[in-house]
Amino acid sequence: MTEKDRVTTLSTAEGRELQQQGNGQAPAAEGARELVPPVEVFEDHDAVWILADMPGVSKDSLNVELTNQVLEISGDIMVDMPEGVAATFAEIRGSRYRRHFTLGRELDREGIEATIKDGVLKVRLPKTDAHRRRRIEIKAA
Amino acid sequence: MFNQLSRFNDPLFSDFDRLFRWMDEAMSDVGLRDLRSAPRGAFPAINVGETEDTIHLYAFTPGLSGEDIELSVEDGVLFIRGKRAPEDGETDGRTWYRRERFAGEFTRAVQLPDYVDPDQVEARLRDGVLTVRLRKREESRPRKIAIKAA
Repeated sequence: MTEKDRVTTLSTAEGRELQQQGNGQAPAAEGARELVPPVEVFEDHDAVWILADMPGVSKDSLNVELTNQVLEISGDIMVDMPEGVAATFAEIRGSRYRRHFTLGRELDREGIEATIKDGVLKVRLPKTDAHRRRRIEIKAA
Repeated sequence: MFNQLSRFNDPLFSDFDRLFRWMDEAMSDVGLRDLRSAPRGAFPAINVGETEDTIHLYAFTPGLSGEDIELSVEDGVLFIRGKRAPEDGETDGRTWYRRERFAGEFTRAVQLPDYVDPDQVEARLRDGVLTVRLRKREESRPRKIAIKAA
């Protein structure tokens, strides 16, 4: 399978594209096992939003990066582990989260904002003015 | 119509069935194999670690505050209960592309070993991770026994 085949394309309401890569397990990086955070993606009148569950990630260990049209969110899981703890049972087997999204050109690169609260990342990707949905006034003839 | 149904009695299907059963047995969650164990992917995910005198339980509860979570110990079972509301705000004019995050009520139960003192439980919530610290009873902790010369 080529890299391109693994890219799923989501068409937005106005036929634009918001692509997302690697829906399954992320390839493991050196040493650390990576988890794919569950997300919510939605669009409203003037922005596209991404919400991602990244428990254990604080503002300091979070990384949101835009390279060309690819937005990457990643973060290290930090939990208070006293010294000498031996894991007896683990459902979360990984030390960081990572996921990419390919953005359409209609999004304003400069205006992207990200916040994280209680382990939930919220990214707002504003649309450029030309792409906002506009109501056109209908004048009486 | 019945001919079509009977195809599922094909020996191939029972092979699959056997394979799946074998996978379920081989890969079931070790450590929490009791009645209340939850399938993989249940919310919240739980990790457990142990030191000589404590047990640490980490529940991954993103987006929840202390008021949303009810933690209790009943008869040697630790319960984590709560509710995570779906993303709020006005939803008019919103188009959803992905909804993978959990929403709704949840309960997870963890059978505690006998050597845990149910009266000494501390819990803290930070960055969406609930850390529960349970202390082992004094008498269960490892102890060095001096060997006396005869």
